[in-house]
Amino acid sequence: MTPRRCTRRLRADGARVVATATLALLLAACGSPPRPSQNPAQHSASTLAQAGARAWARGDAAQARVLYERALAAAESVEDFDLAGAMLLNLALVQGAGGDLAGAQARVDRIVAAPQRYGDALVARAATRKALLYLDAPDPDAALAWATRAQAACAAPCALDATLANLRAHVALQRGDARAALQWAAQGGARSEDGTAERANALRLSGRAQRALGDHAAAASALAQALTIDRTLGLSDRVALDLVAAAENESTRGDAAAAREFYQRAIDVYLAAGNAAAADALRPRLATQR
Amino acid sequence: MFSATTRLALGYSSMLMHAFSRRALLRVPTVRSALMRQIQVTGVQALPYVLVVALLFGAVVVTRALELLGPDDDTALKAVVWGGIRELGPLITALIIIVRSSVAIAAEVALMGLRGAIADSHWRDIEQEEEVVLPRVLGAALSAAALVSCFQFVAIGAALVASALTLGTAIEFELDSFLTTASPLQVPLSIAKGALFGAGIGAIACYHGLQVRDEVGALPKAVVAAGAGSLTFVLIVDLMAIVLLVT
Amino acid sequence: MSTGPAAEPPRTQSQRRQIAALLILALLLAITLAGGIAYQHGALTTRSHVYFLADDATGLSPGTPVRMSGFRIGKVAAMQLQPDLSVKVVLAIESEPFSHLKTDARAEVVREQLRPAAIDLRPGSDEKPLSEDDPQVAFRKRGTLTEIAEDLRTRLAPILDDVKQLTGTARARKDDVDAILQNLHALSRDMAGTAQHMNALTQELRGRVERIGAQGEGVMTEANRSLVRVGNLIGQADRSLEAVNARLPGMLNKADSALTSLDAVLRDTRAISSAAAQGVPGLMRSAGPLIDDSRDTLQGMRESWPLRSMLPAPPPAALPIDSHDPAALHTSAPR
Repeated sequence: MTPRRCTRRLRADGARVVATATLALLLAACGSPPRPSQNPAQHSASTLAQAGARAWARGDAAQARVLYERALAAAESVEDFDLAGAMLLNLALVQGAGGDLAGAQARVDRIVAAPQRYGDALVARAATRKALLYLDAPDPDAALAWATRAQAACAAPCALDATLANLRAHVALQRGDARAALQWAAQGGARSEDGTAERANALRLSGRAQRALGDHAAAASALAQALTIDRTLGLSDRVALDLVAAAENESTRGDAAAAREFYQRAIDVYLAAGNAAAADALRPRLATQR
Repeated sequence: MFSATTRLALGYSSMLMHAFSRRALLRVPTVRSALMRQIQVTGVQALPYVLVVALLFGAVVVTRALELLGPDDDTALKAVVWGGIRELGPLITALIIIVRSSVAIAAEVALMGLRGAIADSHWRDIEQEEEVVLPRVLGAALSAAALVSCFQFVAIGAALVASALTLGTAIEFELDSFLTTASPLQVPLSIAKGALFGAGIGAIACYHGLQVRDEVGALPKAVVAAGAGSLTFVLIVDLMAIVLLVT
Repeated sequence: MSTGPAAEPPRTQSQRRQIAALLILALLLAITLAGGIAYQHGALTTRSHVYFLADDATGLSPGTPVRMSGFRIGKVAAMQLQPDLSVKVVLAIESEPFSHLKTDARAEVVREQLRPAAIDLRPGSDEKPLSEDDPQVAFRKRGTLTEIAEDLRTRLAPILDDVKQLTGTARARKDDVDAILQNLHALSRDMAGTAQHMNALTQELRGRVERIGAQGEGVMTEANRSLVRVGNLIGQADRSLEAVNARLPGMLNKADSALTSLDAVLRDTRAISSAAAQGVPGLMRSAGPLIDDSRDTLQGMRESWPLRSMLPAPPPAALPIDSHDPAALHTSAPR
């Protein structure tokens, strides 16, 4: 080996070392921060919960329930109460959506009965879920009572304020108090973030309350905003609800042609989403607009 | 007193009997003219007065009856009105005749006696006696009958109008109701009663007038006696008629 | 010398005229009055007579008015006591209304409170007119209010006594009655529920029977077709069997040689599987850790940059709480 060849070789080696070190530093810098260490059970529970969420998102309620129950078992096996509480709430939602209100209530009651284990945040979420389950009972008085408990247990700033305000707005509408419903819906809108589903819910409830009060123009505007948000979020059932509320508004206003248009669009959305029963339920109302 | 009453009754009756038995004297012109004169005085001249009284009577009976019985008691109203007119018509007519003619006849006959037109010896002259009594008795009877007929008709008419006006019904309805309630025999019976009253009044007045001989002071007594006697006679006969009808 | 009768003085003539006028006026008025009353009483009209027989003529007397359709047409002319103690009441009525009377005509005594009795003559509806030779009509006595009240009182008094007794008994046994009523109420409720169940069962049975009937028909049709096919198949099988009979011996020879070869293959296969049985469990046991390592590697790669930014974020463990989660808010029913 000549000295020149040796020098060139040394320079090449050095460059490679520098490049490698730089690359390593970059990778290290761009790498994710060190995760808190999870034991295998917790890891399994998290993984199963994410799988359950994916199953719920694609509409597979049965698979979601199975996955959440396995996740709950994994979390409870190591007393991970945060994760267990979350799984209990998820199961309450899945079971309530399936009509098993008693089973859903039982899941929630486990959190409410042991606030020292699950903490105030989970208890507030549990009370909120319980209030929502009572709307399906239907027991609006109990729903309002649990909403009050949830509000009391939820530390400020409460992330559930918008949900609770919208719940109260719905109950007020059911009882015919459109003015109170409008006030609660306005509160729900103010306490929710832009572009969220809860903001769309608040706008939808505002539109229904304004229709009841005879302010059809304001109702149409609110419902149009709700529709935009729900379209953006891709919530087809909410989109259909917005269209039906808009149709009712136009029908009350006396514009039968516009009402027919909204009803037809809602039917099309339901059919595309695979909800033929809801679409069939709308056809008689479309027919009355002729 | 009993003997005086009997004497009077016998005297009244004799007047009537003699007048009836000497009815053939009507062929005598003087008797006929006396009869005409009596009818003129007792009947014709009393007619306006009788008609006015009948008119008032018919209206008063109705209004008083309505006041007492009320407008709703239709049957009682009719009974009172028509019964009143039927019964009281001849009586009121007789009273008018008594007031106007009885005293006049008695006074006239008494004056005739006082002035010597009827001499004592002439009392035995049948002709003279009946020349005084017959025309007066018959004239009073005919006048009374005619006046009763007119009184009843006018009183009934006035009562019909008063009923219709007071009750607010049609006159035809009231007339129909009266004609249904009334009896056809009531008209001739009332007229006959009036004629009897008239004959009695004439006879009584003549009797008392003829009792005056030559004392002027007896004239007022005869006049008063004639009036009282006529009144008594009318009332008794009316009472007897009512009793006979009821039984 | 005698002269003719002297002319009456004017005064005398006037007197005579007045007297004549009075007497004529009185006569005319009397005739008018009497004639009007007589006409009203029908004296100047032709009268017909009808009669009826009554057990009791109380309240009737000659002169009692007779009415038809509310109009006075006559009066009671006479009343005669018959040998059998009934009363024959003869009515004198105008001739024109008599012609309307039929054989089923009847007379009713109307006696209202505070009003005199009257006879109401109903003409009847029969085709035959009332006989003039024997003009008898039926008789009915319409009771006065007093009689009707007395009759009602007689009938109602025993009923009221019974009701009083019954209510007394019921009151004494009120508790029993309440219990019975409650049981009846519960029973009726249960029966209503049972009836509903029965209705539902009946409908379901009807539906099933219909379905069974339809299915039965289908099955029968299918069976028919199947029988036809079976018949065809039997025919085919028959022909095939003949062919098989012809070819069977040759096939049996070939099968024998094939079985020999198969036996050799099976021996080889047995050798392979015994060798695999020793190696596959180990392979499978090592697959689990391999899958876990792969999953961890994938998870690490997913969380590292730049893949982390390219892949969607994993869903949160806890599902969000939405005010429109309840189905009550999802219904599109009219509100």
